[in-house]
Amino acid sequence: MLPVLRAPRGTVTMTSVSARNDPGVIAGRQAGARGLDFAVGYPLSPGAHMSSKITFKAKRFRRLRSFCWSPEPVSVLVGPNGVGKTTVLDLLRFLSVTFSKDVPTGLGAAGGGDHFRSRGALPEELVEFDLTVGDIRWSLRLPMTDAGLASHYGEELYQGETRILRAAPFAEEWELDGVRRKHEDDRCCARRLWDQSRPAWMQAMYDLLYDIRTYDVHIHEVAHGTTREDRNSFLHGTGRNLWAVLSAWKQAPLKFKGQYEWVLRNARIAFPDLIDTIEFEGGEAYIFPPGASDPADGLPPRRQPDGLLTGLCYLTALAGARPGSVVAFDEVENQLHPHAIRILMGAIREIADGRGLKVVLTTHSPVVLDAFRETPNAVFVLDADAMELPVPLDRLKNPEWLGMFSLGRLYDGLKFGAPRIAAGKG
Amino acid sequence: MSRVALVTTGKLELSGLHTALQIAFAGHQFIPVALPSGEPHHGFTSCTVRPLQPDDVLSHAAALLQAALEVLVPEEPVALVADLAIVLDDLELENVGNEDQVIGHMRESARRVIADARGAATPDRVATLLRERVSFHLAVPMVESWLFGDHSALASEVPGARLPTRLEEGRDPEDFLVVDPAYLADDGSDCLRWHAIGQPSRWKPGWLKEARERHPKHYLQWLFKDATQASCARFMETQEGARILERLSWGTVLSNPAWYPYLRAMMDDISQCLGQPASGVSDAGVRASRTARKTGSGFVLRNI
Repeated sequence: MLPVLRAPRGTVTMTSVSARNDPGVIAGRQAGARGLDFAVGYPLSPGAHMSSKITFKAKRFRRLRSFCWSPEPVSVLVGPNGVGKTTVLDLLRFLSVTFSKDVPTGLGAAGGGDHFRSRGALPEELVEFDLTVGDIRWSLRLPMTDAGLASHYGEELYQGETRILRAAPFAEEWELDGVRRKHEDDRCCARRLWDQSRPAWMQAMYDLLYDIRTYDVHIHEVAHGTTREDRNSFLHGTGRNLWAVLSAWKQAPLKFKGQYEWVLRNARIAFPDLIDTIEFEGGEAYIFPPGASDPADGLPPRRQPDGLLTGLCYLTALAGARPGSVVAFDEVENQLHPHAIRILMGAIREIADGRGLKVVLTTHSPVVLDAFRETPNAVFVLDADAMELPVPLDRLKNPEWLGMFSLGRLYDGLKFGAPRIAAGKG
Repeated sequence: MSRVALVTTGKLELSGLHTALQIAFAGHQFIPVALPSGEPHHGFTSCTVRPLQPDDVLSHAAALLQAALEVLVPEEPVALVADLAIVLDDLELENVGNEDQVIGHMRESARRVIADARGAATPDRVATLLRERVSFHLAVPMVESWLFGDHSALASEVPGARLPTRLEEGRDPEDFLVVDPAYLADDGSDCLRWHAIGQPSRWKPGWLKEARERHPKHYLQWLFKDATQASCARFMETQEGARILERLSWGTVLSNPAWYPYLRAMMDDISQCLGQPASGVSDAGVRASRTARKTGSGFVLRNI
């Protein structure tokens, strides 16, 4: 049996207690498959939605004319350029920011309100969003023009079959418990209800929306970042506060149990020639390669390869994710060597299992897809021919047929997720 | 009607073999299997084949088998599948005398394809598919040797001034040897266009390379010599080559029972699978023992 490093006091491992049974601590599992021996505890409380089925629906949202999707623990979205993979991440951003802030900010987070509605939609057709978390359903109906939001949007919130609140599209008022109220500010009605009374049944929806994190790493900001950026406990969507986060984790190992070590351990495997440790001094990060013996061997981020910085961002995003949260990476393979991609995919599965995360990836990489050979149901194909997107790969193709080949080979061979003309459909 | 998929590695076979075999086995459908780009698959015999090492990645040989598997199991619920897949690669001159390594390489590749099965495709299922419905055959030393087995078909495309072709009399074209003095003496000095553009190596006429006398394709190119072309020949596999292949009389090609043992092994294999002899082809004749269909155990494909 592989030795397991002793977990910090107060933590548990997956082999002793189910993570979901212990609201205080979720433990990482032993990554024996890669010869990585550790048990690490995370001091983050799980979201209330962890055991709930989550479904995102959208209609007439940019490229997503009809979209209905329940993510798996680790999901990958594939399809040709322009089919709407990144739009799915915009959908996540929009819902999250609309709930935590307001619709105008949500529109901004999703890339702006202009041309928000699908091309070809009729002027009277609304852009529709529905989020289901367990028995909670939250719906938004947005009257959009090509320039942006045209009027008051519609909103409904259901608990089971019971409608809790409603705002009709274009109306000046909304209704809660049968009482009509004026729109007082830009907050959505569901958020007003939450701020007003924090009903316990809404906790799962709140946790989910509050914990959606989408990542589109801005490598220049990472390369020139310092430890003085916003010192959140988690990584910003661009990765700009990477060094601040890692520095904080390293300095407070009891508070951020095992997170810094988990990042570094995986980074050492993914980038074996580049990184052994990170030192922080005077607000700057210095990365030391294996075998470094002199302080001068440490180089700042701006002298590091983009792939290493990208990989550190991804690992840090994962290590800082709250149990049960949704973490999304756009074109996860960018900058990364196939070896690093494989290590990252292993790390993603490990932490997704351990914390009950929903990790969402978009990709064009055969190497990424090869990591889904055991779970073709988690490969979601955005196929322009489908009535509703996305289609799980094991529904699109015969599972037995799929099992005989590397998914990367099939993708490279235009067997799924291919441009129409290239695939002979045009 | 049965469907036979042809996984081949050259433009000539991809362009013309399905039609040629359709004539031999009327009533059945032969389907060329190309890469997504429309190109033929990559062969694995263009250099001397060596045994696979434990840490080798899946080779071109494995890719050929996977291409065969792709058409044997329905990709989608309503998709049609092939009943048999023939994987055909040239032996190439580099591997004359190295046939056992070539066969061994393919057998080991098959084992790795089986071990690579996942999920709903169990290794047992893949092993059964390969053993019952996939064959591997060799064109020796390459497909162009077949074209010299039927002079009528060849004469329909080769300029008259070049005829007759001169191979060593009484010699099996699978052991190809040209004795044409004009061909063997040609130094390319009159390849005006090729000289005019600076003799780029990519256009170097094949008959100026080594072992020209043993190379069917290079001899074929020379038969279509044209000094106004950069390559000093106007032969195109997808045009002239495919047309000759399509016109082959298999009965004529296989009329000498001692010749073409590898080709006969392939025709025999297809015939057994379809339960129908090739039209006009005598059952008598030598089959190459390495690739002939045999009964017994220990096979990873139908015939090896």
